[in-house]
This record gives sequence, structure tokens and C-alpha cells, in this order.
Amino acid sequence: MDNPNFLSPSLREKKRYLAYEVISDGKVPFAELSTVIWHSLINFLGEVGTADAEVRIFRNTYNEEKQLGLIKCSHTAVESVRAALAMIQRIDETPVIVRVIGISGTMKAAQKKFFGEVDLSSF
Amino acid sequence: MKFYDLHVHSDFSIGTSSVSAIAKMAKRLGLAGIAVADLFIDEPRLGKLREATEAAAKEHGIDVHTGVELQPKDPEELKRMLDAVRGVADVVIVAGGDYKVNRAACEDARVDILAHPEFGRKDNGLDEQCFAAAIKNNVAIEINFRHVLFSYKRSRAHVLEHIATNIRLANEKGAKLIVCSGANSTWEMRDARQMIAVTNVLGMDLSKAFLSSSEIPLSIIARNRKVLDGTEIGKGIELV
Repeated sequence: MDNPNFLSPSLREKKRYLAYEVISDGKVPFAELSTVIWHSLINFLGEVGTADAEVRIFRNTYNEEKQLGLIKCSHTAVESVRAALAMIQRIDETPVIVRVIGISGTMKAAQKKFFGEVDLSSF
Repeated sequence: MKFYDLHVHSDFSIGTSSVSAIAKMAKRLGLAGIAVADLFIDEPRLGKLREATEAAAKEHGIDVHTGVELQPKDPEELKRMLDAVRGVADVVIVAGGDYKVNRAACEDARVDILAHPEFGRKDNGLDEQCFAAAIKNNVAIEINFRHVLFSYKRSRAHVLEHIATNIRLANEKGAKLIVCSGANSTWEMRDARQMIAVTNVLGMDLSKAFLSSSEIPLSIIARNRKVLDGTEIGKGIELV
């Protein structure tokens, strides 16, 4: 076996999914947004703070049309991540505001609640 | 919970966005109200700003108040400025930084908010006497988000340190803190919840951080509205 087994749920860190909205005049591609978010996190929280926050930025949940996406972080770091996102001012030369629109415990619930996505598994 | 941002500049003074654009962005960011606090030039200009804020409030369906930001050089100038604006503005903000001005603002009950007392300083700009006077005169100490946003690396570290000191002292003494964006354009405005998160990271209790963005600004507006309407004719005396 190449990889360790999954940890049991009681041993895993509790996580939260932050649904965010990018407010800007033009469209913002994911690659640039992701770079700016990481830059802001490391600048504001430092490398250790960012490591503690256990941040993941999901490419496949980012809707470039609506400019909505999801970030996963530790449940203890929600406020720090929110604060770091508030520090983002521009992406390239485009002024932006990255705003957290809501928080959820699971990715599925976040997508349903904040992006209005329909859960097809319930049909 | 309703959130307010009482310190935004428009193109009436140093800002770059119109009052209408500010109100539109405020609504998008989920704010219940804002105060457009431009630098005081003269009364006719303030009258024009009031017309613009009233029009923006009707257009976008949020509370838009008319404020002024005073930038006095010394305490004497502050007194003269307060004599001119107190009866005509919804919110009176004094730009801090100079210790004498910080202290004079805390000691004058006509001041609503002392903005960024740590601005341009190598310390937090306030001492025990200032906090005691601010409590006595009901002056709120501002945590200015723009000051954090437009500082980088080492200077941001110093700004955050000074703000954290003011938060700690205000919590210990029981002084009022208020969180404002201090924005000069719509792109510098932030969702109140994000500014609350920043203050929380700097050491303010989350419940107090919520108050500093909702109840405290609301109480300032309610108090001043009574005075401007003529229902409050003296300290603690109301016409019923």
C-alpha cells in the first residue's frame, strides 16, 4: 500500500466550507484568484497560521460565470480566513472584493444552500 | 442583525465614487446603512451632500446618513469646527493621529467618533486619560479598516499592533469601539462581517465585535437624529 489509510472521523480535524463571492467589474479566472487568495493568506496569517488553517481552494466548485466558489478550512480558523480574504484588493489590475457569503459543514450543503444547486441524488 | 458603516468618503471630497454608487455597493455587501462622511468645507456643500444622501437612500432602499470628517490641526481648531458642524451633520468624525487632537476629541461630547487615533504614529495614540474621557463623553474609538488595507508588510504589522493595543485597552476600560471601512471608493468597502473577523483576529471578543458594527453605530445615529429633529433639547431632556 502506497498511501496511509483514511483516519477515522473522530480523529479527523473538523472542517468548514466557506462559500465566497468575487465582486468585480470583469470576470476573474480561477488560476489568478487562487494565487491571490494564497498570497493574502500567507501575508496576513503567516506560513504557520496558514498551515494551522488547513486551507484548500477548490477549482471544480468555482463558477466563473457567477464568480462563486468554495474554500475548505479548519473550524477554528474560519475568522482568520475570512479576515485574510478581506485583505484582497485587486487581481492583476482589476479591483475586487472577495466576500464570504456563508459557511457550511459539508461541501454538498454549501453548494445547495449558497449556489442554489439541486441535489440530484435525492431523485 | 443590521450592520452599519459610518465612515465612507464620496466624490464630494477625497473619495472617488458617487454617493449613489456607494449606497449600491453597501446594499450588495449586506449593510443596513452607511454614513457618507466627507471632509467639511462649508455648510452649502454639506447641504448638497445631504440632498445626494437622501436621493441615494430612496434609490437603493438603505439608510444613508450625512456625516462629516474633521481634520483639525490642533484642539482650538477642532472646537471651532465642531461649533460649525454639530447642528447640521448626522455623524461627526474627527480624524485622529495627533495626540493633542486625539485627547481633545475624547474630551468633547460633540464628537461621535475618533477615527484612526494611531494614524501616522509609532504608538497607539491613546492613553488612560483619553479612554476615561471617551467613556465619559460617549465618544467611540474607530478601528479603521482602510488603514490596515493600505499598509503593507512591516508597516501593516505596526498598524495591527497599535489597533490590537487599542482594542485591549478599550475592553479593559469599557470604552466603545466602532468598526468602519474609511473607504475612499466602493472597492475599499467591505462586508461588515469581514471587518468583524479582522477585529476578532486582533483580539476583540466576537460578540463585542458584532456590537461595534451594529448597535454602537445605530445608537450614534439614533442619538443624533433626536438632536437634529429637535426632540432632544438637552442632555437627557426629550420633548414627548
